[in-house]
Amino acid sequence: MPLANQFWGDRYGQITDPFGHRWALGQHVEDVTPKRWSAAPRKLSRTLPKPPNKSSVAEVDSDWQTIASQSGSRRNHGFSNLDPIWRIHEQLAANQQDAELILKLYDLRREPVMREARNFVATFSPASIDDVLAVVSNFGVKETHICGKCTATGRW
Amino acid sequence: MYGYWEMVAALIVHGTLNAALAYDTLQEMYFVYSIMQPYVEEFRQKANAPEF
Repeated sequence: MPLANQFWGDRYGQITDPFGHRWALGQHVEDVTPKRWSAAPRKLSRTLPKPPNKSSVAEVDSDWQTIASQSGSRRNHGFSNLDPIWRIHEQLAANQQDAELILKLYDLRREPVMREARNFVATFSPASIDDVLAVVSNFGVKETHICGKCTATGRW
Repeated sequence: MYGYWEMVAALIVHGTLNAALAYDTLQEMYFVYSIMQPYVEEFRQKANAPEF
């Protein structure tokens, strides 16, 4: 998604780095009035692929429902150019499930070992790859425990 | 610690967690990544872990 001023008032885009990591970049640049929100679908539709020729709005809407149900994802971005703004916004905006997950992640970071790990990382300033490997490979020392075992996934 | 943020990043990449909300609320993740970023490629080679 190219970096551009978006209809919701942010300059936003997504990039993929050479390692395949996708990064979302965004900065709020203006407050969008409700009037401009209502015009957003028409503006957005000009940047999206056109759907195949359909005889009615209902037919296009039916296609959208099919795509959404087949994807199994609540983040399907296969908008048609007839989607109302609330539907587009529903796909892009964070919902309660996202908020609950953020709070759960926050709770995990409050655990004592995680707090200790954060304190270590905040002062960890490797000057070379050897400094990194020294911490990672010295099993049994406290710093390795913090970097390696204090994880939710057990990796690293 | 890094594994924790790796897990969070995976939630974002796979669409489980809203990317914009994560960007606004999990700034620590970028701080942690910035410490390791200069050494990631070399670590992959030396640790023989290209998927890291």
